[in-house]
Amino acid sequence: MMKEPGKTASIHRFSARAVIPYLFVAPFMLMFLVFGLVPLVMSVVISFTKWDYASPMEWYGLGNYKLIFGLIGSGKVASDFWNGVLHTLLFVAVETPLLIVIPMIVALLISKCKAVRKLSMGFFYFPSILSITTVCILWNFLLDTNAGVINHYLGIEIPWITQMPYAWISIFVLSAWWGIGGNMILYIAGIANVPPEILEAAELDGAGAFRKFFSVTLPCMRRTLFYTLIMTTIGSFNMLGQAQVLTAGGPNFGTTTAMMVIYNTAFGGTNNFGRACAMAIVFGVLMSLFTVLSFKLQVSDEEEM
Amino acid sequence: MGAAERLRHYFKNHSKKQILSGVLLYAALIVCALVVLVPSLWAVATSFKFETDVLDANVTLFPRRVTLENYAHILNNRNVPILLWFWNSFKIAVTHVVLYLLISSLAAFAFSRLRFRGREVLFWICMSSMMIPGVINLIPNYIIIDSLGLVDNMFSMVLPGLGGVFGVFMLRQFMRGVPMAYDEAAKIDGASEFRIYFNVVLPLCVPVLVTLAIFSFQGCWNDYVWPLIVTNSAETRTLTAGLATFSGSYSHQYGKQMAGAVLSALPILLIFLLGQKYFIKGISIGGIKG
Repeated sequence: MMKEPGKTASIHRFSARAVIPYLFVAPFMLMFLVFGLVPLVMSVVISFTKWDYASPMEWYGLGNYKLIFGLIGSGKVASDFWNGVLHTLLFVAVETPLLIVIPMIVALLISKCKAVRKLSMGFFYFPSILSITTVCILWNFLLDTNAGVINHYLGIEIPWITQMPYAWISIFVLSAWWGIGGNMILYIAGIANVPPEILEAAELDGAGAFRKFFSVTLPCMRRTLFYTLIMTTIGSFNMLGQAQVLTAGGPNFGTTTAMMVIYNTAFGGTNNFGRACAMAIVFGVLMSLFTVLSFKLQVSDEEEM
Repeated sequence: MGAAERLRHYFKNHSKKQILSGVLLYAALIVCALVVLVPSLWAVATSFKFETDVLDANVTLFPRRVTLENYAHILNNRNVPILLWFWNSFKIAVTHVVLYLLISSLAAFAFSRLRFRGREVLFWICMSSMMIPGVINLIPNYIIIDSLGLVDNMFSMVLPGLGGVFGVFMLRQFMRGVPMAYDEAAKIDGASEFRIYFNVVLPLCVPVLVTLAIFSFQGCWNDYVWPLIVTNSAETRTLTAGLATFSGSYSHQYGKQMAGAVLSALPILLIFLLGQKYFIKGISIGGIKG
């Protein structure tokens, strides 16, 4: 007699307890579902339609993709899009090395100058706390052809923002100035984690500063390097603010990036949501290809060791 | 040890070559620092100049005549409510960070320390979505926010980022390192799962929480394209989005533009200076654990 109620109570308690873990994950899963998974499915579906958001959706099959790859239509859509992708790739190809090498040099300097380590870390990180629009307003002034400080001091009259290739150079410099901080701090942490006994052993073997850096410090920082490489590349792929605020995509669409083309297709006047979704998917696949490729590279690199 | 004594000590214990390379290193560092500093210095100096002096052919870094006119003008212009934008950015970023840390840590706790059916599958689904670039979700997210009636509402900028899986991933990694013995002991004392989460595991996660807070704050603060999409009126804009058209409205009035730039930078600079220690530590941890 006593057993029965006890048993039901324990069953009851068990089922209530079984729900608890789900309560823990529920808020996150809800957000993940609504803003992560559902949009992904929606994006794929919308990419097969013609839709301006105001009128009813119209099935378009592979039409948007054909347009993007220049198989139908005048080819204007394709040339605009791939023009943007090309510019994004140019930015990634130039800016990523800059944001790996410059912060590394600064990090090495700071690591050697121990007395001012903390002070200079804060100092070099400062530009990164500014929002991209503030940075663009500031550099827009510095780079001004007539009133700008840079031309004033160099005694030249270069139209830094409105002429090629200067517009790109301006974007590269501005982005490097803005982005030194994050990677620099990671490198300083990485340098501090290099086992001193290996460095001492290398020194005893007669290795110079350069040899020590390339044969000891750098290999020891492989994980940090890989992390910054991935993060910097993804960030560069998403570049938009610089091109929109500083150069407005110009001159003559010369600095229009893929993100900008997608943004303008969806929100710049005509809401061409179907086409923009297809563009986002093509561009997104390109981006993930890169990420998967670098992960593969890293895995094979680790297996080698 | 005083500075002078330390210097003397240094000179006594190092060879000439070592001292020379030390001096060179510091000199190089100072040059780099100047390159970073000079643009900001020019901005601050210019913001205190009269517009006519800014355009003067013999312009100098330090203003010959100091004026607060630019600041007064910007602060009184209702079309560019920089302080309101700052407050919006701050409000949105803080709300986002608090919610993000809360729901990510709750989920990470369950994924790392509780047993339940479907745990691995759910976690696997979340993780595989990390490979998918955010740009693909941009347009559908706008449609979702619009259908929720949240356009021009601060929550349109708070909510979408909460679906990000990076926080769950990082916290789960960290929580797996916390010994389960703590949970067992607390359970014997009669603590509920939530108490174990809140009183035992969460306090041990503070370093990672700080890191995540910094990352998500910066991500939210610097987000440029999303606030532009989901806001229509000047009053609801964030600083980053609001300032996008700022240069255009003060074409060639660089004194005023720089005053705006300085005003937009000051509050975040203050926050940075107050929390610099945690900031730098947090970012360093992020790179090692991430």
